[in-house]
Amino acid sequence: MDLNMKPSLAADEMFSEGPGYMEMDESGGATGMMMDHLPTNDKHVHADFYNNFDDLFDEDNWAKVTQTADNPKQ
Amino acid sequence: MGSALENFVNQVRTMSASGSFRELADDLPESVSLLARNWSILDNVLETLDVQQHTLGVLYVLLAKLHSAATANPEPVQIIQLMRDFVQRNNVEQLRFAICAFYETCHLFTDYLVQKNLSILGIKIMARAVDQIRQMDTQLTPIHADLCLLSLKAKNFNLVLAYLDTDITDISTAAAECKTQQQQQSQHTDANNDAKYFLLFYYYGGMIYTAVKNYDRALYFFEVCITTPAMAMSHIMLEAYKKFLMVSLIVEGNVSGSERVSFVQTNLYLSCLYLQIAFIPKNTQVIGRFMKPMASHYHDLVSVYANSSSEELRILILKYSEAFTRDSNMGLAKQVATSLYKRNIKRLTKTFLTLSLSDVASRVQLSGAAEAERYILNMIKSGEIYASINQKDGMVLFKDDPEKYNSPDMFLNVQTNITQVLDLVKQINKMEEEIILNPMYVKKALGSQDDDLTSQHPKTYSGDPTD
Amino acid sequence: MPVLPMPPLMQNAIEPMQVDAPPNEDNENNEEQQIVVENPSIDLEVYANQYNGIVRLHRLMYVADVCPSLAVEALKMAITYVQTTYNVNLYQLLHKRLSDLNASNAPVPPAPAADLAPVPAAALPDIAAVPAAIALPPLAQGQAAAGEKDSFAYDAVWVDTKMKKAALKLEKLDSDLKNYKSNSIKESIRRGHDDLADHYLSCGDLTNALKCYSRARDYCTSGKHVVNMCLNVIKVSIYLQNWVHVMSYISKAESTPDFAEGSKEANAQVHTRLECAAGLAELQQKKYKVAAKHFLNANFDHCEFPEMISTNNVAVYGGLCALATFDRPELKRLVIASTSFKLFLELEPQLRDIIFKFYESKYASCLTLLDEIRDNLLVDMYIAPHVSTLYTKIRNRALIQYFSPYMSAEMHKMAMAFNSSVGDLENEVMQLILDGQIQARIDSHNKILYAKEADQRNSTFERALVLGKKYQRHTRMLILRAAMLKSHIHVKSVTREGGSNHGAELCVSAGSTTTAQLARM
Repeated sequence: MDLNMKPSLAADEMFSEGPGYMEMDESGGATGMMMDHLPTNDKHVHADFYNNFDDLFDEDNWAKVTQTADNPKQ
Repeated sequence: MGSALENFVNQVRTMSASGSFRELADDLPESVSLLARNWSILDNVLETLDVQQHTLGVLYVLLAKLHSAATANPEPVQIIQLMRDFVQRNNVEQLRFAICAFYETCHLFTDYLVQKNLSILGIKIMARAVDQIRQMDTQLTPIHADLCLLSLKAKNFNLVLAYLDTDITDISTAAAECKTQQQQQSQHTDANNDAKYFLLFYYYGGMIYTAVKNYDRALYFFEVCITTPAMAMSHIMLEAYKKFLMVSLIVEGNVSGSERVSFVQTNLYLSCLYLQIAFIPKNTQVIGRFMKPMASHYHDLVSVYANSSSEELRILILKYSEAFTRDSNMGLAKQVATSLYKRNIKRLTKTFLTLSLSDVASRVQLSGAAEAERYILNMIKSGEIYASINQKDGMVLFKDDPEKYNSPDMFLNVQTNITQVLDLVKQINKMEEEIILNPMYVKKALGSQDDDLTSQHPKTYSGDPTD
Repeated sequence: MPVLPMPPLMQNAIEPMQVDAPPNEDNENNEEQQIVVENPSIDLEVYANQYNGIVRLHRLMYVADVCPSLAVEALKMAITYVQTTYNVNLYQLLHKRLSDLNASNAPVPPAPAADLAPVPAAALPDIAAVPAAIALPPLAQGQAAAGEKDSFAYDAVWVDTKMKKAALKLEKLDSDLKNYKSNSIKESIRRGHDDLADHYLSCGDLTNALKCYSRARDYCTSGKHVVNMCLNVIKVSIYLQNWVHVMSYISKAESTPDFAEGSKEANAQVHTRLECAAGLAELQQKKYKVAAKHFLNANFDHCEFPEMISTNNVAVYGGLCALATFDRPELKRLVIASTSFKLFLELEPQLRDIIFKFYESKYASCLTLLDEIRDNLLVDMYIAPHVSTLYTKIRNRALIQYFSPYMSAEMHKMAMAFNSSVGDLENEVMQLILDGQIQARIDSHNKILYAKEADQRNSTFERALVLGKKYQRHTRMLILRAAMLKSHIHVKSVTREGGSNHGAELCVSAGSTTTAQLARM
């Protein structure tokens, strides 16, 4: 976490280190407004995460269903 | 062996021998580039070090080896063997001085295995790494995500499920570890890495639960992922969101906001501080503005599903099959389609005592009596409905759930549930107590009272010495 | 001050019925607007005479819109009536409609009409278009030749003089008002505003009428005046179909101190008027049960407001809404046993029969009678959009009531009792079961409907377990969330160029400590 991001903000009262949820509420609001001014690309992160899997959920039916529909005895 | 490397070895040996692990851990990061440059003779360096005695030194050699893997092109077997050996024999007390480097080593190792298509060989190693480094069973570390990734790639979930089933109460982050270890935090400029590994754990975890058809738990994981506070759209969240929508349909038949609404009830048990936490999505804006438009196909799926027409749904899935396939979600889409047939059959059980198979088929838009029979048989087998089929006249006889809530088993089940709930209440109470006793909190709570009351009772309430 | 988004005067007269009802409000309304009523059995003259003022015109025009067989007659009645007012725009519009209608009815229009008939519709409401409208007489004469009386010919002279008279009257009322204002006599100013508003109303300028009635508020000196102002505003708001406005002025009137304390006799009429207005507003907002209760509160002896609603309307609207939304005891207590509403029902014997048949569980004849009055309801502009919804509700209520005493019911008999086939009935009942309105299961094999007793103990256990699971899930997520906040897990927006430390040539997603160093070596 980047601790230098908002040095001016008071440390969170609850959790001793760094900014906490209260500050997040505010910055959430602030960036909310900023969102309208920024080009959208800056708002997308984690584009490089690994997601190259086979379809893990395709073990059953569909094909089978349509096949067995014509051929009731399976 | 060059003299620079000799210095490295000497430094590791002397400082380890004198127990100056903190200083050693602070110095070592500077050696990484030196080690990586000398990738060809790192094995010689390893021979002079002992994993047990010089854990930190070996860790950094491993890190350098993984960094230089693209150039050095080492034998995968050797790398795996080194890692296995390291996690089995290292000295955890020493390792704790360089948690960040250890996390990084594990990430690189995982990437390496995935690249080499050897994921299955890393599962045990990463599980062992997690066991070593986490402070308690319920602590999440950044390398949990690596364990999930390897399991997913290998399609082997035996080991990882125990880790996923454990509910998390604490999170170890690179940011926090590096801060305590004074390790050049300025270079941790990618501030989103901690969020990334957190999101990945819940995204991959959700996928694993979906694959083993534990849909409730999958939904929980995806929901954690998409309700993580966000000021920008994470692509991990986007993919989780797509799967969240589909699994919602399979589990609940709709995408309800009910989950969030009932948080209000939960709040009754919580202090005012937790109240603020409890209202989950701060990122509705992010979902609304960035994710919804990027998941429009999935939203169409949800709205068509609501019409209960399997035929319409089938047509829509075919229409979007390219997009679903691109996202590797086609299998899930098919499961969504199956779930609608099942849901419609379940509706019939609520309204009919008897119904002919062909009527079942026409009411739920199956192709004919035979297909209806197959669906119903499957659902009877899996306990989703209670019914019997009279083959003679092709009639289905729907029955009530035979559960009468009067068996010892059910009693035990209820008992277990009550115990679990009470344990959770205890845990929440403990957390609340911690907060109330936190000096910062006390100061804040009293401080605000001061502001209100100083004018009236300056002596009684104000602790200000200048008064 | 109510501000209605409408240009003054001219706009109002174009399509009075569409002023406040945008065409695509919802499906139901659209559906109803497309409906064509074939055989209403109403006597149009009697029907129209129940109303006066702009309501009569609106109602006649609605009949002309939905019922081709009565269209010409309705338009002619409207034309005759509009001539007693200053509403010149509406007069022109009605003539345009009539001529369009005649043109489409007569396959070969008379020669002069062929040249002159296509008066641009857009030009009509414009004063400047009057010359074009004057060109109409030849057409009307063509009709006269076909045996029509001349009284329905377009009367350009009437238009001209009426417009002049209206302008003169407006000028006079205006200057009167200015006089009153300079003398600052509150009561005169109030009356002056009301008079001006009355005149605007007669001209069909609803927006300005509403403005003037509302302005009277500042010059009210007694509670009675305030109530009166409210009633005026309510009246015009009903014409504008601004139901929210209607409701808010009803509560203003009701909360006026004098009104609440005044004698019952004197207030009875105001009371009934407010109840009827409220009923109408709730009906239009589809709050049928509340609407029924309002109508049922009307007092027959003080129900005389032809500029708003007829007593027959109160009977029909109240009766139908009650039938659609009341349970059996309510129906008995509030409708059948109500001595005051009985008087209303006497006016609509068919509806009275329907309600009694329903209460006596003679559903087949009840539903048949309902079907018989359907067409008559569909020519009524206030109830027409709700007929199909109300009918479905009544039918469902009948089905539920029919089955309520039985443990099992033969669906063949049931279908007979509801004028329907077993198949259709099965679908209807299925929907009701799914909605939880009937606790039963269908034995489709033997076509018998069996009541299903809910096992309270089982369902309580079931619910408790589900709730427990939910609680656990939420609490776990909550604890996790606390941990997330403690560890500052949240996705930041990265606006700087910092993404470059990814050492992509080394690995897919490198951690950052050493990668950055390597990049420098």
